[in-house]
Amino acid sequence: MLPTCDRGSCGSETGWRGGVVGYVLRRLVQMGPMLLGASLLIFLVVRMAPGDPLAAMVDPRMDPQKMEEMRARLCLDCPVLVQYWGWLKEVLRGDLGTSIRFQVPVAELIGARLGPTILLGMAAFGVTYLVGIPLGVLTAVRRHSWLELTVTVLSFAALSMPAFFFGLLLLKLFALGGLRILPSSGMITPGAPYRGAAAMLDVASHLVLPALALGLSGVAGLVRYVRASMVEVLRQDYVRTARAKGLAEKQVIYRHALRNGLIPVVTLVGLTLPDIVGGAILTESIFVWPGVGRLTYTALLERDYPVLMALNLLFAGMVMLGSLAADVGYALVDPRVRYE
Amino acid sequence: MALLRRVDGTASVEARWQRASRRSRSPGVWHEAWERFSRNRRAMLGLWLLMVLALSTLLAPVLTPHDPETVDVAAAELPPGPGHPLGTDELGRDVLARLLYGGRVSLTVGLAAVALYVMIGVALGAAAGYYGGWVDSLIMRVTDAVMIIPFFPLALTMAAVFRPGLYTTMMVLGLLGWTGVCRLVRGEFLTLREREYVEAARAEGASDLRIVFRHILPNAMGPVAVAATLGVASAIMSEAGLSFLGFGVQPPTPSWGNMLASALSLRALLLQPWLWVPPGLMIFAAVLAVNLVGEGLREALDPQLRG
Repeated sequence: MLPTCDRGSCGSETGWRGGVVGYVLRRLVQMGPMLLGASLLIFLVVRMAPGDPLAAMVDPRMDPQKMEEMRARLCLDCPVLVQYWGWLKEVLRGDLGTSIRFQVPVAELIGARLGPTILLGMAAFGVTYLVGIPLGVLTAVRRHSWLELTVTVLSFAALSMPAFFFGLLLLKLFALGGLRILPSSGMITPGAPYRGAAAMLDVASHLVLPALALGLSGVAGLVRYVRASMVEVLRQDYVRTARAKGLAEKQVIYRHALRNGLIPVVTLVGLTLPDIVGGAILTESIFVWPGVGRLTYTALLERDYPVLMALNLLFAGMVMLGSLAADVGYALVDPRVRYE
Repeated sequence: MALLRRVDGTASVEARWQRASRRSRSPGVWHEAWERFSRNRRAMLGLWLLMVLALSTLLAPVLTPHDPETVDVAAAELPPGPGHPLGTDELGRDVLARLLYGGRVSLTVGLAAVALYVMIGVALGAAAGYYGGWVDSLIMRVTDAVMIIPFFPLALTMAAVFRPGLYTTMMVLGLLGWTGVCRLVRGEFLTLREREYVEAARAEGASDLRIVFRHILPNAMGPVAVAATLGVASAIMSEAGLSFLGFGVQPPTPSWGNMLASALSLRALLLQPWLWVPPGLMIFAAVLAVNLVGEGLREALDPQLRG
């Protein structure tokens, strides 16, 4: 969707700055039908639930006549597509329904938990990139060394390690058994009178273990990606030129090669977002992190269907926006890319 | 053959020609791929590890006298020791037996789920790539819709909506996993259907089905085999995740994932590592083995990839 072009063919264009708004708008318009399809799928999956959806929604001791009224109002005997249309209209108006379990609007429930998940997700990305990029660059620079072998072995191991098992090990080693230097659950120390910097430090200490657990799975992919990209860049003519004019190897790598080698990494943010969302459910359940992942788990246990539908829709939207942001970011850092 | 052999032992020209032509007709691509694969130490390590794992789960009745589901409250929560090499769980069930029989479950779920989604993905991808037009757009729109919803939350939702269990797990993973294979096969078909030999087959009056299954599909199977192998690794991981949260394989049937769930109790996490560390390591080993084999296969089928 973002074709690159050499300078000759697009130097006369208005450049990316002129096209970016239009491009984003076009992409957003394309996302409409995709989200619509996704919403239909989510609706169908939940409506396939065996049994009476009303029985799951209300107190079974409710007056049967009232139940009939409610059935008619909710249109539970209508054809599926009519029901879908009814639900969609509500969603488009911003009404995601009411949680069966908590009896509060779904939007409110999710809104209160979105912040912690975004914080955790960013921290996990931080872990992935802080570990992945240096290792990827190092293995590209020192090919066929013991270092490359070690990193390859370790990244295969990281790729194959279930994040939740790793999380449990971290919990045992650093929070509960073993060292006990970090808190095991939640986002803040309950009842602690922290203010300002101390409060931030408190949250940060709670963040360490879940972010490590969630960030690990992405490291292997990133290392491979960065390595391939750097190897490719180090083969280019301008790198040879830089070496030929006598620059120190460090300068060649860190000033010339690195800048171009890391460009494709931007797109990886969008690609790994679904894994982060999926991993967040497991990680937040283990570390009792008060985010949407933990909410998903609770909603699953309670068969809280309105919440589950809204969450799946939210995740789909997040993934799409993430990939759009990645594409835009890619063009921001690489002037050779042109919006079409 | 004996008739064609000369007295001095060298093969006749005809025999040599026959042998040569037989060799050229054999599926040489796969043979060459195996030769490259078997020279790849990492891949072979993965293959051996996988065989050891599969064999040990198959030989479970030989390796342990215990039944994985027999409750013995008198022997509950025993640490590893004589009689129970890996101890027992809170109901007195032998952990080694549950680990081995649970391996059967986890590996089977992984294989079955991938078999299901390869069938779906190949069928849809072939139809989309071969026919093009509105068939292609319809299939690709459905693929997009499935693809943009993150896999794991949707799988959990589906498993919770249906009754969670062994077959639900296979079905859910199979019904949601096919998008990658579908896009892959579609892409292969789009290029392969323009090839001259396909044109020739069509000119000879071959039916669509024959062209698809006999001429195009075999040439598209390499990338599918790689994707399927790596898919088994992620299916094992997904099963473990689903079962860990209680929406996959249900106890008393053991699986590596639901055995790990015992670590959700603080006491087991801290004091009874024999309950949850072994299944975690088994998942790790199985996924690692399958990943190594998959990567080996990728390098073997496409030697240019090897950096």
